Amino acid sequence: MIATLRMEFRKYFTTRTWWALLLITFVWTGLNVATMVLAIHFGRSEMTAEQGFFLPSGDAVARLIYSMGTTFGYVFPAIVGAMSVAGEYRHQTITPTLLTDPARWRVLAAKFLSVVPLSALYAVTVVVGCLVFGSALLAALGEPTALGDVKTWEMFARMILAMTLWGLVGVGLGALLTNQMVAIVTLLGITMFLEPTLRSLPMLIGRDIPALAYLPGALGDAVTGATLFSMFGPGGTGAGLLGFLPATALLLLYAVVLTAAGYLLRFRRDIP
Amino acid sequence: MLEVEHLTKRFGTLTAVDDLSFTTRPGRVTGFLGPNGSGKTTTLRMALGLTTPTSGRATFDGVPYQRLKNPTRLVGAALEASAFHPGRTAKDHVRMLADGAKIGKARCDQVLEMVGLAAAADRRVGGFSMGMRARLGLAAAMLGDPQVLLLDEPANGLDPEGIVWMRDLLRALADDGKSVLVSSHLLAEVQQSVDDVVIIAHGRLVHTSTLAGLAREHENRTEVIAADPGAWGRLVAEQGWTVQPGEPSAGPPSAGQQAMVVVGPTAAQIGRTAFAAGVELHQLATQRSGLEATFLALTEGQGTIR
Repeated sequence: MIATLRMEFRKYFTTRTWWALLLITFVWTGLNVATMVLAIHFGRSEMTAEQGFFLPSGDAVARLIYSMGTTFGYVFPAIVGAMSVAGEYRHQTITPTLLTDPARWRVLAAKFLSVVPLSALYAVTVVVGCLVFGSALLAALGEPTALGDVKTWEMFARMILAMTLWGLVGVGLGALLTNQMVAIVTLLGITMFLEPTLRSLPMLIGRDIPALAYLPGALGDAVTGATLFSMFGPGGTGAGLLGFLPATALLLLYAVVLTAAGYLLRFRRDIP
Repeated sequence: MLEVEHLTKRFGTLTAVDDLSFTTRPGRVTGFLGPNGSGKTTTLRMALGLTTPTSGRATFDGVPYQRLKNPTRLVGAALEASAFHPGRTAKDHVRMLADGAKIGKARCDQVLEMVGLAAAADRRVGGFSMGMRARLGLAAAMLGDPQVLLLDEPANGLDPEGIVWMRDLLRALADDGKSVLVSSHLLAEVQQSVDDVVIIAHGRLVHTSTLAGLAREHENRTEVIAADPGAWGRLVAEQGWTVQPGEPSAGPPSAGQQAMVVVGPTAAQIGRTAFAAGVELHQLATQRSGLEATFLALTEGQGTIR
Protein backbone atom coordinates (compact mmCIF):
# COMPACT_ATOMS: atom_id res chain seq x y z
CA MET A 1 0.00 0.00 0.00
CA ILE A 2 2.84 2.40 0.83
CA ALA A 3 4.42 1.82 -2.60
CA THR A 4 1.08 2.44 -4.32
CA LEU A 5 0.58 5.63 -2.27
CA ARG A 6 4.05 6.84 -3.25
CA MET A 7 3.18 6.17 -6.87
CA GLU A 8 0.02 8.30 -6.49
CA PHE A 9 1.90 11.24 -4.97
CA ARG A 10 4.56 11.11 -7.66
CA LYS A 11 1.74 11.15 -10.22
CA TYR A 12 0.17 14.35 -8.83
CA PHE A 13 3.35 16.33 -8.50
CA THR A 14 4.98 15.44 -11.83
CA THR A 15 2.53 17.25 -14.07
CA ARG A 16 1.77 20.95 -14.08
CA THR A 17 -1.91 20.48 -13.28
CA TRP A 18 -1.46 20.59 -9.52
CA TRP A 19 0.10 24.02 -9.27
CA ALA A 20 -1.90 25.55 -12.11
CA LEU A 21 -5.07 24.49 -10.31
CA LEU A 22 -3.64 25.71 -7.00
CA LEU A 23 -3.08 29.13 -8.54
CA ILE A 24 -6.60 29.21 -9.96
CA THR A 25 -8.00 28.16 -6.56
CA PHE A 26 -6.16 31.00 -4.85
CA VAL A 27 -7.11 33.70 -7.33
CA TRP A 28 -10.74 32.58 -7.82
CA THR A 29 -11.63 32.31 -4.14
CA GLY A 30 -9.67 35.44 -3.35
CA LEU A 31 -11.42 37.55 -5.97
CA ASN A 32 -14.85 36.29 -4.93
CA VAL A 33 -14.19 36.99 -1.28
CA ALA A 34 -12.87 40.43 -2.15
CA THR A 35 -16.02 41.12 -4.17
CA MET A 36 -18.11 40.13 -1.13
CA VAL A 37 -16.11 42.49 1.09
CA LEU A 38 -16.73 45.37 -1.30
CA ALA A 39 -20.41 44.50 -1.77
CA ILE A 40 -21.06 44.43 1.96
CA HIS A 41 -18.93 47.47 2.75
CA PHE A 42 -20.49 49.71 0.18
CA GLY A 43 -23.94 48.15 0.03
CA ARG A 44 -24.62 47.64 3.71
CA SER A 45 -27.16 50.48 3.98
CA GLU A 46 -29.29 48.81 1.33
CA MET A 47 -28.93 45.27 2.66
CA THR A 48 -31.82 45.53 5.04
CA ALA A 49 -34.34 43.02 6.29
CA GLU A 50 -36.98 44.73 4.14
CA GLN A 51 -34.85 43.93 1.11
CA GLY A 52 -34.51 40.32 2.22
CA PHE A 53 -30.97 40.50 3.65
CA PHE A 54 -30.01 39.36 7.10
CA LEU A 55 -26.52 40.64 7.72
CA PRO A 56 -24.92 39.87 11.07
CA SER A 57 -22.88 42.53 12.76
CA GLY A 58 -19.32 42.97 14.02
CA ASP A 59 -16.90 40.02 13.77
CA ALA A 60 -19.65 37.75 12.48
CA VAL A 61 -19.71 39.72 9.21
CA ALA A 62 -16.03 38.99 8.66
CA ARG A 63 -16.59 35.32 9.39
CA LEU A 64 -19.52 35.18 6.99
CA ILE A 65 -17.26 36.64 4.32
CA TYR A 66 -14.45 34.16 5.04
CA SER A 67 -16.87 31.26 4.94
CA MET A 68 -17.52 32.18 1.32
CA GLY A 69 -14.14 30.63 0.70
CA THR A 70 -15.77 27.24 1.10
CA THR A 71 -18.69 28.23 -1.10
CA PHE A 72 -16.42 29.30 -3.95
CA GLY A 73 -13.49 27.01 -3.27
CA TYR A 74 -14.86 23.56 -2.53
CA VAL A 75 -15.17 22.69 -6.19
CA PHE A 76 -11.35 22.69 -6.57
CA PRO A 77 -10.45 19.88 -4.14
CA ALA A 78 -13.42 18.01 -5.60
CA ILE A 79 -11.95 18.40 -9.10
CA VAL A 80 -8.56 17.23 -7.84
CA GLY A 81 -10.20 14.15 -6.32
CA ALA A 82 -12.16 13.38 -9.48
CA MET A 83 -9.08 13.82 -11.67
CA SER A 84 -7.03 11.44 -9.55
CA VAL A 85 -9.22 8.66 -10.95
CA ALA A 86 -10.74 9.99 -14.18
CA GLY A 87 -7.50 11.68 -15.29
CA GLU A 88 -5.89 8.24 -15.43
CA TYR A 89 -8.61 7.07 -17.81
CA ARG A 90 -8.27 10.26 -19.82
CA HIS A 91 -4.56 9.71 -20.48
CA GLN A 92 -4.73 5.90 -20.31
CA THR A 93 -2.11 5.93 -17.56
CA ILE A 94 -4.53 3.65 -15.73
CA THR A 95 -2.91 0.85 -17.78
CA PRO A 96 0.66 1.25 -16.43
CA THR A 97 -0.79 1.95 -12.98
CA LEU A 98 -2.68 -1.35 -12.93
CA LEU A 99 0.27 -3.18 -14.44
CA THR A 100 2.32 -1.97 -11.49
CA ASP A 101 -0.34 -2.76 -8.91
CA PRO A 102 -3.03 -5.07 -10.32
CA ALA A 103 -5.05 -5.05 -7.08
CA ARG A 104 -7.70 -2.56 -8.09
CA TRP A 105 -9.16 -2.12 -4.64
CA ARG A 106 -5.71 -1.11 -3.41
CA VAL A 107 -5.20 1.37 -6.25
CA LEU A 108 -8.54 3.04 -5.52
CA ALA A 109 -7.91 3.00 -1.75
CA ALA A 110 -4.51 4.63 -2.37
CA LYS A 111 -6.20 7.34 -4.43
CA PHE A 112 -8.77 7.91 -1.68
CA LEU A 113 -6.08 8.20 1.01
CA SER A 114 -3.67 10.29 -1.05
CA VAL A 115 -6.40 12.79 -1.87
CA VAL A 116 -6.75 13.61 1.87
CA PRO A 117 -3.49 15.60 2.14
CA LEU A 118 -3.81 16.77 -1.45
CA SER A 119 -7.27 18.30 -1.06
CA ALA A 120 -6.20 19.68 2.33
CA LEU A 121 -3.49 21.55 0.40
CA TYR A 122 -6.15 23.13 -1.83
CA ALA A 123 -8.32 23.86 1.22
CA VAL A 124 -5.43 25.64 2.94
CA THR A 125 -4.91 27.62 -0.26
CA VAL A 126 -8.55 28.71 -0.12
CA VAL A 127 -8.08 29.88 3.48
CA VAL A 128 -4.89 31.72 2.53
CA GLY A 129 -6.85 33.34 -0.31
CA CYS A 130 -9.50 34.46 2.20
CA LEU A 131 -6.79 35.92 4.44
CA VAL A 132 -4.80 37.64 1.71
CA PHE A 133 -7.76 39.09 -0.19
CA GLY A 134 -10.46 39.19 2.51
CA SER A 135 -8.71 40.25 5.72
CA ALA A 136 -6.40 42.69 3.99
CA LEU A 137 -9.28 44.39 2.21
CA LEU A 138 -11.45 44.45 5.36
CA ALA A 139 -8.60 46.02 7.31
CA ALA A 140 -7.96 48.55 4.56
CA LEU A 141 -11.62 49.55 4.61
CA GLY A 142 -11.61 49.86 8.38
CA GLU A 143 -13.93 46.89 8.88
CA PRO A 144 -13.38 44.34 11.66
CA THR A 145 -11.25 41.40 10.43
CA ALA A 146 -12.19 39.07 13.31
CA LEU A 147 -8.67 37.63 13.20
CA GLY A 148 -8.24 38.21 16.93
CA ASP A 149 -11.18 35.95 17.66
CA VAL A 150 -10.40 32.27 18.20
CA LYS A 151 -13.80 31.42 16.68
CA THR A 152 -12.53 32.70 13.33
CA TRP A 153 -9.53 30.37 13.35
CA GLU A 154 -11.74 27.52 14.46
CA MET A 155 -13.88 28.20 11.43
CA PHE A 156 -10.82 28.18 9.14
CA ALA A 157 -10.01 24.72 10.50
CA ARG A 158 -13.57 23.57 9.84
CA MET A 159 -13.41 25.02 6.31
CA ILE A 160 -10.29 22.95 5.64
CA LEU A 161 -12.05 19.85 6.95
CA ALA A 162 -15.14 20.50 4.80
CA MET A 163 -13.12 21.00 1.63
CA THR A 164 -10.93 17.97 2.33
CA LEU A 165 -14.10 15.87 2.57
CA TRP A 166 -15.16 17.35 -0.76
CA GLY A 167 -11.94 16.09 -2.29
CA LEU A 168 -13.00 12.59 -1.26
CA VAL A 169 -16.47 13.08 -2.74
CA GLY A 170 -14.58 13.95 -5.94
CA VAL A 171 -12.69 10.63 -5.84
CA GLY A 172 -16.02 8.82 -5.61
CA LEU A 173 -17.46 10.77 -8.51
CA GLY A 174 -14.33 10.17 -10.59
CA ALA A 175 -14.46 6.42 -9.89
CA LEU A 176 -18.15 6.28 -10.73
CA LEU A 177 -17.94 8.29 -13.97
CA THR A 178 -14.32 7.52 -15.07
CA ASN A 179 -14.68 10.11 -17.85
CA GLN A 180 -12.75 13.20 -16.77
CA MET A 181 -14.78 15.67 -18.79
CA VAL A 182 -18.09 14.24 -17.61
CA ALA A 183 -16.86 14.16 -14.02
CA ILE A 184 -15.77 17.81 -14.04
CA VAL A 185 -18.92 19.00 -15.82
CA THR A 186 -21.04 17.03 -13.34
CA LEU A 187 -19.17 18.57 -10.42
CA LEU A 188 -19.51 22.09 -11.78
CA GLY A 189 -23.16 21.46 -12.60
CA ILE A 190 -23.96 20.24 -9.11
CA THR A 191 -21.89 22.76 -7.16
CA MET A 192 -22.42 25.84 -9.30
CA PHE A 193 -25.96 25.34 -10.56
CA LEU A 194 -28.04 22.52 -9.11
CA GLU A 195 -27.33 23.09 -5.43
CA PRO A 196 -27.53 26.89 -5.46
CA THR A 197 -30.83 26.64 -7.35
CA LEU A 198 -32.34 24.10 -4.97
CA ARG A 199 -31.13 25.97 -1.94
CA SER A 200 -32.62 29.22 -3.18
CA LEU A 201 -36.06 27.61 -3.30
CA PRO A 202 -36.94 28.32 0.37
CA MET A 203 -36.42 32.04 -0.30
CA LEU A 204 -38.74 31.90 -3.27
CA ILE A 205 -41.52 29.88 -1.66
CA GLY A 206 -41.06 31.49 1.73
CA ARG A 207 -40.68 28.39 3.88
CA ASP A 208 -37.97 25.96 4.90
CA ILE A 209 -37.34 22.67 3.08
CA PRO A 210 -35.62 20.40 5.65
CA ALA A 211 -34.42 17.87 3.04
CA LEU A 212 -32.10 20.50 1.55
CA ALA A 213 -29.87 20.18 4.61
CA TYR A 214 -28.76 16.79 3.27
CA LEU A 215 -27.42 18.16 -0.02
CA PRO A 216 -23.64 17.76 -0.16
CA GLY A 217 -23.03 21.51 -0.40
CA ALA A 218 -25.29 22.15 2.59
CA LEU A 219 -23.33 19.53 4.51
CA GLY A 220 -20.12 21.34 3.60
CA ASP A 221 -21.60 24.56 4.92
CA ALA A 222 -22.70 22.76 8.07
CA VAL A 223 -19.16 21.47 8.62
CA THR A 224 -17.85 25.01 8.07
CA GLY A 225 -20.55 26.33 10.42
CA ALA A 226 -21.55 29.23 8.24
CA THR A 227 -23.25 29.72 4.94
CA LEU A 228 -23.83 32.36 2.35
CA PHE A 229 -27.48 31.37 2.33
CA SER A 230 -27.87 32.45 5.95
CA MET A 231 -27.68 35.99 4.60
CA PHE A 232 -31.05 35.38 3.02
CA GLY A 233 -32.53 33.16 5.73
CA PRO A 234 -34.50 34.11 8.85
CA GLY A 235 -32.31 35.35 11.64
CA GLY A 236 -29.10 34.95 9.67
CA THR A 237 -28.00 31.94 11.67
CA GLY A 238 -27.78 29.42 8.89
CA ALA A 239 -30.94 27.78 10.12
CA GLY A 240 -31.82 24.45 8.61
CA LEU A 241 -28.25 23.13 8.54
CA LEU A 242 -27.24 19.97 10.37
CA GLY A 243 -24.86 20.07 13.31
CA PHE A 244 -21.07 19.84 12.85
CA LEU A 245 -20.65 16.17 13.77
CA PRO A 246 -23.60 14.71 11.86
CA ALA A 247 -22.71 16.83 8.84
CA THR A 248 -19.07 15.70 8.93
CA ALA A 249 -20.06 12.06 9.29
CA LEU A 250 -22.65 12.29 6.52
CA LEU A 251 -20.33 14.02 4.04
CA LEU A 252 -17.67 11.37 4.70
CA LEU A 253 -20.33 8.71 4.21
CA TYR A 254 -21.28 10.25 0.84
CA ALA A 255 -17.62 10.06 -0.21
CA VAL A 256 -17.23 6.45 0.93
CA VAL A 257 -20.50 5.29 -0.65
CA LEU A 258 -19.71 7.02 -3.97
CA THR A 259 -16.22 5.53 -4.02
CA ALA A 260 -17.48 2.05 -3.13
CA ALA A 261 -20.15 2.32 -5.83
CA GLY A 262 -17.50 3.49 -8.29
CA TYR A 263 -15.35 0.49 -7.39
CA LEU A 264 -18.18 -2.02 -7.72
CA LEU A 265 -19.78 -0.60 -10.84
CA ARG A 266 -16.89 0.88 -12.86
CA PHE A 267 -13.39 0.52 -11.49
CA ARG A 268 -13.36 -3.27 -11.63
CA ARG A 269 -14.41 -3.35 -15.26
CA ASP A 270 -12.22 -4.05 -18.27
CA ILE A 271 -9.86 -1.19 -19.00
CA PRO A 272 -10.71 0.28 -22.41
CA MET B 1 7.07 -18.10 -18.38
CA LEU B 2 3.63 -17.20 -19.71
CA GLU B 3 1.09 -19.98 -20.01
CA VAL B 4 -2.16 -19.26 -21.80
CA GLU B 5 -4.80 -21.95 -21.28
CA HIS B 6 -8.08 -22.09 -23.20
CA LEU B 7 -8.39 -18.31 -23.07
CA THR B 8 -11.68 -17.03 -24.47
CA LYS B 9 -13.13 -13.53 -24.65
CA ARG B 10 -16.54 -12.66 -26.02
CA PHE B 11 -17.77 -9.11 -26.49
CA GLY B 12 -21.51 -9.63 -26.91
CA THR B 13 -21.86 -11.92 -29.89
CA LEU B 14 -18.32 -11.33 -31.10
CA THR B 15 -15.71 -13.86 -30.04
CA ALA B 16 -12.43 -11.93 -29.99
CA VAL B 17 -10.32 -14.75 -28.58
CA ASP B 18 -11.44 -18.34 -28.94
CA ASP B 19 -10.06 -21.15 -26.77
CA LEU B 20 -6.49 -20.00 -27.23
CA SER B 21 -3.63 -21.92 -25.61
CA PHE B 22 0.13 -21.44 -25.95
CA THR B 23 3.22 -20.96 -23.82
CA THR B 24 6.36 -18.92 -24.09
CA ARG B 25 9.73 -20.44 -23.25
CA PRO B 26 12.69 -19.00 -21.34
CA GLY B 27 15.59 -17.98 -23.52
CA ARG B 28 13.42 -17.67 -26.60
CA VAL B 29 11.68 -14.92 -28.49
CA THR B 30 8.14 -15.89 -29.46
CA GLY B 31 6.44 -14.06 -32.30
CA PHE B 32 2.72 -13.64 -31.58
CA LEU B 33 1.38 -13.15 -35.07
CA GLY B 34 -1.93 -12.50 -36.70
CA PRO B 35 -3.71 -9.96 -38.87
CA ASN B 36 -5.06 -6.76 -37.35
CA GLY B 37 -8.14 -7.50 -35.27
CA SER B 38 -7.25 -11.15 -34.77
CA GLY B 39 -7.22 -10.85 -30.97
CA LYS B 40 -3.53 -10.35 -30.16
CA THR B 41 -3.98 -7.26 -28.01
CA THR B 42 -7.06 -8.67 -26.28
CA THR B 43 -5.05 -11.78 -25.40
CA LEU B 44 -2.22 -9.71 -23.93
CA ARG B 45 -4.64 -7.52 -21.98
CA MET B 46 -6.32 -10.60 -20.53
CA ALA B 47 -2.96 -12.07 -19.57
CA LEU B 48 -2.15 -8.80 -17.77
CA GLY B 49 -5.41 -8.62 -15.84
CA LEU B 50 -6.65 -5.49 -17.64
CA THR B 51 -9.48 -7.39 -19.30
CA THR B 52 -11.36 -10.27 -17.69
CA PRO B 53 -11.48 -13.45 -19.78
CA THR B 54 -14.89 -14.97 -20.49
CA SER B 55 -13.24 -18.31 -19.73
CA GLY B 56 -9.79 -19.85 -19.50
CA ARG B 57 -6.78 -18.31 -17.84
CA ALA B 58 -3.26 -17.03 -18.25
CA THR B 59 -0.55 -17.49 -15.66
CA PHE B 60 3.03 -16.41 -15.09
CA ASP B 61 5.03 -19.19 -13.47
CA GLY B 62 1.65 -20.61 -12.47
CA VAL B 63 0.25 -17.41 -10.93
CA PRO B 64 -2.40 -15.16 -12.54
CA TYR B 65 -1.12 -11.59 -13.03
CA GLN B 66 -3.55 -10.12 -10.47
CA ARG B 67 -2.15 -12.40 -7.79
CA LEU B 68 1.51 -11.53 -8.37
CA LYS B 69 3.05 -9.82 -5.35
CA ASN B 70 5.10 -7.29 -7.29
CA PRO B 71 4.40 -8.01 -10.98
CA THR B 72 6.98 -5.50 -12.27
CA ARG B 73 9.70 -7.84 -10.97
CA LEU B 74 8.48 -10.85 -12.96
CA VAL B 75 6.61 -9.47 -15.97
CA GLY B 76 7.33 -6.44 -18.10
CA ALA B 77 4.76 -5.27 -20.61
CA ALA B 78 4.69 -2.58 -23.26
CA LEU B 79 1.22 -2.04 -24.67
CA GLU B 80 -0.09 0.84 -26.79
CA ALA B 81 2.37 3.66 -27.22
CA SER B 82 -0.01 6.38 -26.01
CA ALA B 83 -0.40 5.44 -22.34
CA PHE B 84 1.61 8.39 -21.06
CA HIS B 85 0.54 11.70 -19.59
CA PRO B 86 1.74 14.24 -22.18
CA GLY B 87 2.77 16.68 -19.45
CA ARG B 88 4.99 14.26 -17.56
CA THR B 89 8.67 13.83 -18.36
CA ALA B 90 10.06 10.47 -19.43
CA LYS B 91 12.06 10.20 -16.22
CA ASP B 92 9.05 11.01 -14.03
CA HIS B 93 6.93 8.43 -15.87
CA VAL B 94 9.47 5.74 -15.13
CA ARG B 95 10.08 6.94 -11.57
CA MET B 96 6.35 6.92 -10.84
CA LEU B 97 6.18 3.25 -11.88
CA ALA B 98 9.39 2.53 -9.98
CA ASP B 99 7.80 3.93 -6.81
CA GLY B 100 4.89 1.54 -7.18
CA ALA B 101 7.26 -1.40 -7.68
CA LYS B 102 9.75 -0.40 -4.96
CA ILE B 103 12.56 0.16 -7.43
CA GLY B 104 15.21 2.81 -6.93
CA LYS B 105 16.19 5.84 -8.99
CA ALA B 106 19.42 4.30 -10.28
CA ARG B 107 17.53 1.60 -12.17
CA CYS B 108 15.29 4.27 -13.74
CA ASP B 109 18.29 6.10 -15.16
CA GLN B 110 19.69 2.76 -16.29
CA VAL B 111 16.63 1.68 -18.31
CA LEU B 112 16.32 5.13 -19.91
CA GLU B 113 19.97 4.78 -20.90
CA MET B 114 19.31 1.28 -22.29
CA VAL B 115 16.58 2.52 -24.63
CA GLY B 116 18.55 5.57 -25.69
CA LEU B 117 16.40 8.15 -23.94
CA ALA B 118 18.94 9.38 -21.37
CA ALA B 119 19.30 12.72 -23.15
CA ALA B 120 15.51 13.15 -23.45
CA ALA B 121 14.77 12.00 -19.88
CA ASP B 122 13.75 15.44 -18.67
CA ARG B 123 11.56 16.25 -21.67
CA ARG B 124 7.78 15.98 -21.51
CA VAL B 125 6.35 12.97 -23.32
CA GLY B 126 3.89 15.22 -25.19
CA GLY B 127 6.75 16.28 -27.46
CA PHE B 128 7.95 12.73 -28.13
CA SER B 129 7.82 11.03 -31.52
CA MET B 130 6.12 7.64 -31.89
CA GLY B 131 9.52 6.00 -31.87
CA MET B 132 10.52 7.72 -28.63
CA ARG B 133 7.24 6.65 -27.04
CA ALA B 134 7.89 3.08 -28.12
CA ARG B 135 11.33 3.30 -26.48
CA LEU B 136 9.87 4.75 -23.29
CA GLY B 137 7.31 1.94 -23.18
CA LEU B 138 10.18 -0.53 -23.45
CA ALA B 139 12.10 1.23 -20.67
CA ALA B 140 9.05 0.86 -18.43
CA ALA B 141 8.73 -2.81 -19.38
CA MET B 142 12.36 -3.53 -18.51
CA LEU B 143 12.25 -1.57 -15.24
CA GLY B 144 11.97 -4.56 -12.92
CA ASP B 145 14.43 -6.71 -14.93
CA PRO B 146 11.56 -9.16 -15.50
CA GLN B 147 11.84 -12.78 -16.61
CA VAL B 148 8.88 -12.43 -18.98
CA LEU B 149 8.39 -9.61 -21.47
CA LEU B 150 5.17 -9.01 -23.39
CA LEU B 151 5.57 -6.45 -26.13
CA ASP B 152 2.61 -5.41 -28.27
CA GLU B 153 3.75 -4.28 -31.73
CA PRO B 154 7.00 -2.86 -30.32
CA ALA B 155 8.35 -1.94 -33.73
CA ASN B 156 5.44 0.44 -34.42
CA GLY B 157 6.74 3.93 -34.98
CA LEU B 158 10.39 2.93 -34.97
CA ASP B 159 12.60 3.98 -37.84
CA PRO B 160 14.68 1.32 -39.67
CA GLU B 161 17.60 1.98 -37.34
CA GLY B 162 15.28 1.60 -34.36
CA ILE B 163 13.97 -1.70 -35.70
CA VAL B 164 17.50 -3.08 -35.95
CA TRP B 165 18.17 -1.86 -32.41
CA MET B 166 14.94 -3.51 -31.20
CA ARG B 167 15.89 -6.78 -32.89
CA ASP B 168 19.24 -6.82 -31.09
CA LEU B 169 17.59 -5.94 -27.80
CA LEU B 170 15.07 -8.79 -28.07
CA ARG B 171 17.92 -11.17 -28.86
CA ALA B 172 19.95 -9.95 -25.91
CA LEU B 173 16.99 -10.33 -23.55
CA ALA B 174 16.34 -13.88 -24.71
CA ASP B 175 20.04 -14.76 -24.51
CA ASP B 176 19.81 -13.55 -20.93
CA GLY B 177 17.31 -16.36 -20.29
CA LYS B 178 14.13 -14.29 -20.44
CA SER B 179 11.06 -15.36 -22.34
CA VAL B 180 10.00 -12.64 -24.74
CA LEU B 181 6.66 -12.43 -26.54
CA VAL B 182 6.45 -9.96 -29.41
CA SER B 183 3.19 -9.37 -31.22
CA SER B 184 3.06 -8.22 -34.81
CA HIS B 185 0.76 -8.34 -37.79
CA LEU B 186 3.75 -8.64 -40.10
CA LEU B 187 5.85 -11.77 -40.07
CA ALA B 188 8.60 -9.99 -41.99
CA GLU B 189 8.93 -7.46 -39.18
CA VAL B 190 9.88 -10.08 -36.58
CA GLN B 191 11.12 -12.91 -38.82
CA GLN B 192 14.73 -12.10 -38.08
CA SER B 193 14.37 -12.03 -34.31
CA VAL B 194 11.93 -14.76 -33.30
CA ASP B 195 12.67 -18.38 -32.41
CA ASP B 196 9.08 -19.55 -32.08
CA VAL B 197 5.84 -18.47 -33.66
CA VAL B 198 2.26 -18.48 -32.39
CA ILE B 199 -0.07 -17.57 -35.23
CA ILE B 200 -3.70 -16.67 -34.62
CA ALA B 201 -6.57 -15.66 -36.86
CA HIS B 202 -10.07 -14.74 -35.73
CA GLY B 203 -8.95 -15.31 -32.17
CA ARG B 204 -8.08 -18.95 -32.83
CA LEU B 205 -4.70 -20.60 -32.85
CA VAL B 206 -3.85 -21.60 -36.41
CA HIS B 207 -0.22 -22.57 -36.03
CA THR B 208 2.45 -22.83 -33.40
CA SER B 209 5.97 -24.13 -33.89
CA THR B 210 9.53 -22.96 -34.07
CA LEU B 211 10.31 -20.53 -36.86
CA ALA B 212 12.21 -23.36 -38.57
CA GLY B 213 9.09 -25.51 -38.28
CA LEU B 214 7.09 -22.84 -40.04
CA ALA B 215 9.73 -22.64 -42.75
CA ARG B 216 9.53 -26.40 -43.30
CA GLU B 217 5.83 -26.08 -43.85
CA HIS B 218 6.07 -23.61 -46.64
CA GLU B 219 6.11 -24.53 -50.33
CA ASN B 220 8.11 -22.80 -52.98
CA ARG B 221 5.96 -21.43 -55.75
CA THR B 222 7.68 -20.31 -58.93
CA GLU B 223 6.14 -18.69 -61.97
CA VAL B 224 7.51 -19.99 -65.22
CA ILE B 225 6.91 -19.05 -68.84
CA ALA B 226 8.47 -21.42 -71.34
CA ALA B 227 9.13 -20.54 -74.97
CA ASP B 228 8.28 -24.08 -76.14
CA PRO B 229 5.42 -25.68 -74.21
CA GLY B 230 6.19 -29.08 -75.66
CA ALA B 231 9.81 -29.16 -74.46
CA TRP B 232 8.74 -27.72 -71.13
CA GLY B 233 6.04 -30.35 -70.71
CA ARG B 234 8.57 -33.15 -71.29
CA LEU B 235 10.93 -31.63 -68.72
CA VAL B 236 8.13 -31.38 -66.12
CA ALA B 237 7.17 -35.01 -66.70
CA GLU B 238 10.81 -36.08 -66.52
CA GLN B 239 11.40 -34.24 -63.22
CA GLY B 240 8.02 -35.18 -61.73
CA TRP B 241 7.29 -31.55 -60.83
CA THR B 242 3.86 -30.45 -59.72
CA VAL B 243 2.62 -27.67 -61.92
CA GLN B 244 -0.48 -25.56 -61.87
CA PRO B 245 -1.79 -23.19 -64.52
CA GLY B 246 -0.74 -19.72 -63.47
CA GLU B 247 -1.52 -16.11 -64.15
CA PRO B 248 1.88 -14.57 -64.74
CA SER B 249 2.39 -11.33 -62.85
CA ALA B 250 4.28 -9.81 -65.78
CA GLY B 251 1.24 -9.73 -68.07
CA PRO B 252 -0.19 -12.32 -70.46
CA PRO B 253 2.35 -14.48 -72.28
CA SER B 254 2.77 -14.23 -76.04
CA ALA B 255 0.89 -16.59 -78.32
CA GLY B 256 1.95 -20.19 -78.02
CA GLN B 257 3.58 -19.67 -74.67
CA GLN B 258 2.29 -21.05 -71.42
CA ALA B 259 2.39 -19.63 -67.89
CA MET B 260 2.80 -22.20 -65.14
CA VAL B 261 3.39 -22.25 -61.42
CA VAL B 262 5.81 -24.91 -60.25
CA VAL B 263 5.25 -26.03 -56.68
CA GLY B 264 8.16 -27.51 -54.77
CA PRO B 265 11.59 -26.76 -56.24
CA THR B 266 13.17 -23.35 -55.87
CA ALA B 267 13.58 -20.98 -58.81
CA ALA B 268 17.29 -21.78 -58.82
CA GLN B 269 16.67 -25.51 -59.13
CA ILE B 270 14.19 -25.00 -61.98
CA GLY B 271 16.48 -22.63 -63.79
CA ARG B 272 19.48 -24.95 -63.50
CA THR B 273 17.51 -27.99 -64.70
CA ALA B 274 15.94 -26.12 -67.62
CA PHE B 275 19.32 -24.72 -68.64
CA ALA B 276 20.91 -28.18 -68.54
CA ALA B 277 18.07 -29.59 -70.63
CA GLY B 278 18.25 -26.69 -73.10
CA VAL B 279 14.67 -25.57 -72.42
CA GLU B 280 14.22 -21.87 -73.08
CA LEU B 281 12.48 -19.96 -70.27
CA HIS B 282 11.13 -16.42 -70.65
CA GLN B 283 10.18 -15.96 -67.06
CA LEU B 284 11.30 -17.47 -63.81
CA ALA B 285 9.93 -15.69 -60.73
CA THR B 286 9.46 -16.66 -57.07
CA GLN B 287 5.96 -15.90 -55.84
CA ARG B 288 6.31 -13.93 -52.56
CA SER B 289 8.77 -15.02 -49.94
CA GLY B 290 8.01 -18.54 -48.84
CA LEU B 291 7.48 -17.79 -45.14
CA GLU B 292 5.30 -14.78 -45.81
CA ALA B 293 3.19 -16.86 -48.21
CA THR B 294 2.76 -19.57 -45.60
CA PHE B 295 1.80 -16.99 -43.00
CA LEU B 296 -0.74 -15.42 -45.34
CA ALA B 297 -2.10 -18.84 -46.33
CA LEU B 298 -2.60 -19.70 -42.65
CA THR B 299 -4.47 -16.49 -41.98
CA GLU B 300 -6.04 -16.30 -45.44
CA GLY B 301 -9.17 -14.22 -45.79
CA GLN B 302 -9.15 -13.58 -42.08
CA GLY B 303 -7.49 -10.21 -42.12
CA THR B 304 -10.64 -8.16 -42.34
CA ILE B 305 -11.05 -5.54 -39.66
CA ARG B 306 -14.06 -6.45 -37.61
